[in-house]
Amino acid sequence: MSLRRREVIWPKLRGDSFQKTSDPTNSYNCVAFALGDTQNWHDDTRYGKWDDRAPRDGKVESYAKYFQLFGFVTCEEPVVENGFEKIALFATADGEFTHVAIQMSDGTWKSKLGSLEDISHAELTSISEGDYGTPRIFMKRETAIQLSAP
Amino acid sequence: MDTVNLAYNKQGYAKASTFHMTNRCRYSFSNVKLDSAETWRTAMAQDWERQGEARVVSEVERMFRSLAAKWREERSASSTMRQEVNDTYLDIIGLGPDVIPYILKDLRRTSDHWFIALRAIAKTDPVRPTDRGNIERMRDAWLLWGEQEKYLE
Repeated sequence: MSLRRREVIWPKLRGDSFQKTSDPTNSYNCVAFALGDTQNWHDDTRYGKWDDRAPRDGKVESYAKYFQLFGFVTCEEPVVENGFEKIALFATADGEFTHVAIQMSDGTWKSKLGSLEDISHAELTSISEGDYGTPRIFMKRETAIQLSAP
Repeated sequence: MDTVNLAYNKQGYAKASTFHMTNRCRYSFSNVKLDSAETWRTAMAQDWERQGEARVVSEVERMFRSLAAKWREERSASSTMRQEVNDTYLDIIGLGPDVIPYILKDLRRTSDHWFIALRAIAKTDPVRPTDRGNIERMRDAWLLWGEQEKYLE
């Protein structure tokens, strides 16, 4: 991807505001990454891993419903809380799901960028205001809960 | 075989360069702005790949390659396949059944997300429901189908 294209998609993601933490891959996406699954691509299309208990309409609320099936519950603020992992679901102005980022125990964030690489970024807002829109829903689950296939 | 003649100026533009192998095919590469080292390397690699292909490039293949490159640039940040199905992706579907061999070859090389396009064009789906989400298994299912249907050698 060209630098110019990156600047359009993530206008705030520049310089030392992020670090790449993996090679690019189209084998998994941010949803899978947030669920600890790097073997599958999770989305609500025919060819994504999904659970029909969550609607297939692309809306951020439907993705929140999907994460609920893995033990996540909505929460108010993205502050670090011992014993919980937290995620932030991004959406466009009209409510289309665009991305999910994972909060680390030190308060920083990790993201899988589409078919590109995983990155760590200090601020959640580093990837907002471009194509990803803004963080719309925050969720958390106890760190002891393990991934289970839907 | 004619060769590709490319010249890059100091501003990073690849000057127009065309070669003809037959009257039926033509490759053109003109005034592409190379605005980063990454883009430069990619363009150079693609040029070498082109030079090594001493064969006729069909119009459908040429269009597919052009559209696929555009689509990859446009969709690389997309988190879902729903977002990846943009206008360029639909243009590729619009190329019809003749594009299936090229999509399958690209799928074999890149494991990229051509599943929706293939199903739309071929009007079949060899992927088992239990394999949905697993890119490698879905790729393998489509490649096996392509071999069985003689789209791939």
